[in-house]
Amino acid sequence: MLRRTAKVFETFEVYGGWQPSCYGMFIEQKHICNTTLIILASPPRAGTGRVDKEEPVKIIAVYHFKGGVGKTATAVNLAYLAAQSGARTLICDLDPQGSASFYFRVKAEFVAGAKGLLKGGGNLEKSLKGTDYQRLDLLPADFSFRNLDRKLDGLDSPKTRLGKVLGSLRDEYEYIILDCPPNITIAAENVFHAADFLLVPIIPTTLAVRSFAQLLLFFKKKRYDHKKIFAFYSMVESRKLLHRESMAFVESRFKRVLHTRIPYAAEIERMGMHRQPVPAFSPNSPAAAAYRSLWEEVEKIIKT
Amino acid sequence: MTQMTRYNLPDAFDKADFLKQLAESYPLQREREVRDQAVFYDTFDWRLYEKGLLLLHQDETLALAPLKDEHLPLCVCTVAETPLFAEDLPEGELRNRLTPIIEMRALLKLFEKRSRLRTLRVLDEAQKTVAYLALETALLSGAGNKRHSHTVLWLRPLRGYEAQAESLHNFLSESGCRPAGESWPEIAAPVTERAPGDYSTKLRVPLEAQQPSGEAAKTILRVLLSAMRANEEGIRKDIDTEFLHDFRVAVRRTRSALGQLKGVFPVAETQRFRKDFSYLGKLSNRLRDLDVYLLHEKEYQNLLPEALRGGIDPLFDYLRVERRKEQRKMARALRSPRYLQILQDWEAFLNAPAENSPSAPNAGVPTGELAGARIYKRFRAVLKAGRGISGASPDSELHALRLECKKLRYLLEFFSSLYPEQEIQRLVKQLKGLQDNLGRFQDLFVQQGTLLSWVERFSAAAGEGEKTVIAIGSLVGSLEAEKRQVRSAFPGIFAKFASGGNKKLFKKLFAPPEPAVAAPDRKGF
Ligand SMILES: Nc1ncnc2c1ncn2[C@@H]1O[C@H](COP(=O)(O)OP(=O)(O)OP(=O)(O)O)[C@@H](O)[C@H]1O
Ligand SMILES: [Mg+2]
Repeated sequence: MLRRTAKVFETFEVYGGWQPSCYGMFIEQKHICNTTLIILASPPRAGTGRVDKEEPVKIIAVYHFKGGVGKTATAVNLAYLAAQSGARTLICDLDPQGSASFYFRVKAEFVAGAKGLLKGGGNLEKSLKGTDYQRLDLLPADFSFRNLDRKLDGLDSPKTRLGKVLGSLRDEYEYIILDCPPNITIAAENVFHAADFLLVPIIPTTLAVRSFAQLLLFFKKKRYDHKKIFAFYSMVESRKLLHRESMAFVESRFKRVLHTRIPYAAEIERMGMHRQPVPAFSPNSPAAAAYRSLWEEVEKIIKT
Repeated sequence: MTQMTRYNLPDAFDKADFLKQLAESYPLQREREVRDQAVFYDTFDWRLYEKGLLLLHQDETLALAPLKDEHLPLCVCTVAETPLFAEDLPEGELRNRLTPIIEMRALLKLFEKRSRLRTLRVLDEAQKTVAYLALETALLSGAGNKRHSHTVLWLRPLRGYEAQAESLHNFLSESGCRPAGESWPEIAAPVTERAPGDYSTKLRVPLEAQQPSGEAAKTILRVLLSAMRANEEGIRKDIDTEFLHDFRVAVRRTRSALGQLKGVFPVAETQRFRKDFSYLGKLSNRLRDLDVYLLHEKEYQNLLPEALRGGIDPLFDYLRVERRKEQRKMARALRSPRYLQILQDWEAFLNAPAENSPSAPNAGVPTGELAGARIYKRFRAVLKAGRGISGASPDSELHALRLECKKLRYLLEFFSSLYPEQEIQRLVKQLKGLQDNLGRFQDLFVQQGTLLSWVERFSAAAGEGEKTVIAIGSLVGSLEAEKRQVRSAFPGIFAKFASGGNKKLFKKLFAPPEPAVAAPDRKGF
């Protein structure tokens, strides 16, 4: 498949301020080698609008019940990079605050509301929005998603509803990335069921580490598959001794910690101003490199 | 779905004015200009175009796309250059899709398209892209120095922003832009000097039932002559095997027409040209035989037991050398005075005004009458020949039936325009089933004979030669097994062709009305 041949990451730097999105109109993918710009035709997307793919869709949730740890920043950047790597990708903004939708400049408005989301089918398809980036679609949030729990409560299979609803999109995307709100309600349990992987950002501080331990405990108690959980460090300031110590502590107790550390970076804060993923407006920044490395790691885990 | 729409610009398109008006109606962001280059391919007989497909090579990528939108490829593969044949493509989906369509035909470069693309993003109040518009200025160039420039406008909607796309469509319509119906191969016709679909192996001769038979016959034969001419260059340049094949089919059809359309031309001319076309047919018999063997090389290899696979190589090496010789001979023959004279005379004859000479008694008969009578007679001949065949019949009877079928097939093809398309197609399909069975049987029979005739050449040589002889023996055995299978399928296939429904249809379409009065002067056709 085409995207296997694309090495957008390695060659990014060659072309200075190049923004892949600029050529979005015609070319699904650009491939830069040395100084020549090689245009690859779009990926094999059959005329029916379905992707020709061998692999079933992979659902990746960026989750923590703790707020403000960098979930949305991660989901947005990883979704962008997944699409850049050639995969049809969907990012679902499940947070009623609609931050992910905001970053993609899409109004946080899901016409059918929380009820419609849980019904799925046509309601879902109708609400999908093409982003400014090739192969990346967004399911916008809606303020009514704050009532998701109440709505779920009335259903017969309240904990597996989301997985079923997203299943209808399985032929259309290779990756579905969920940006989750910070809570641990029935809605969150839906995410635990639906997701194949749970990426959990940990800020390396004592309290954040403690919350992570609580999450693991919850998984154990409720018998969720804790092997789905992959932690990574977010907003890392490696100059701080506390950060270094906290990281060492987690790693001594939990195996599935990714190597990539997302640094505390002004570029990431600036996403809100640009309303773009970091690699789109600042491809050469260390922050962009960190997200790229994180995505490569995640991709490797998914594929093995 | 992000299907793009291509628009043609109005005659008096003022780009600056258009952009100004667009900018007044929509927030826009201009993208940097992009250059784009692609080479388009198809086979000589437009197999991809006929299937609604485009094949284009762009940088290192070969893409198969729907005819209307080269930007939504169905599949792609990475190759530095487009190979001539499907079998030389890297393994993968593109090759798998292409092979059954183009088979052994060569991919010919049709034209090159160099484009400048100016893309505009149409934005909403959050500066979010809601659609793309792009002006493509394409410079098309063909094999010669012909150039043709063509400018179009593309609209690409974005999922979830259908209303905005609709509004843009309306804006474009009001500006005089119209969705383009034609595909790039059609746009490029001035530089390729070929209209897409201008050549097809299928015979398409528009005839009228009332037109005199002499005239209709000439129309059919002129179409066949132009098919011969169209294939000459490909044979001379040895591009692929099908140029010769099509050439030979045209020759055979011509011979069959001369033999079967009795009394439409004067006797002397008919006889002369029958002889000429018989010569033209024989010219390439051996070359075609060699082509067929070489085309089936892989299948032969597969028929052999593992241990003997290499054994057949010397035979194919020999065949390749022979083929090269025969090819050159054929190329020379196409330039020979005799060949040129025959075609020149034939053309002059076909273009001469219709004659009403007494030596051509059927020249004035309405075509519908002649066609119906001839086809019905041949159909009955096929039934008769086929009915007599039992399990014990000699192979020669199948051979005779095969020839009858061929005659019938040609007649159906010559006159198909006179009859309802669906019904003719049904009959041709039934007949084809029968012909395939008989043809395969004949093929196997001939191949066995030819293989055995080559034994001699290798039996004299020691060592490797022996292995080749054994391999040939093994092949003859495998072919025998298939031959028996084909023969045992015959009764069923024939019964289907001779079914009541088919007979009724033949009668309905072709049987002459019960003669109230005999027409003695119109006998013999
Ligand atoms: N690595 C980082 N460096 C600096 N700032 C960051 C980093 N990651 C996130 N931020 C900033 O921190 C704030 C919270 O981040 P973000 O919204 O991604 O967290 P979240 O976990 O999704 O929050 P919530 O729980 O409210 O959904 C944002 O303003 C964001 O720009
Ligand atoms: Mg968030």
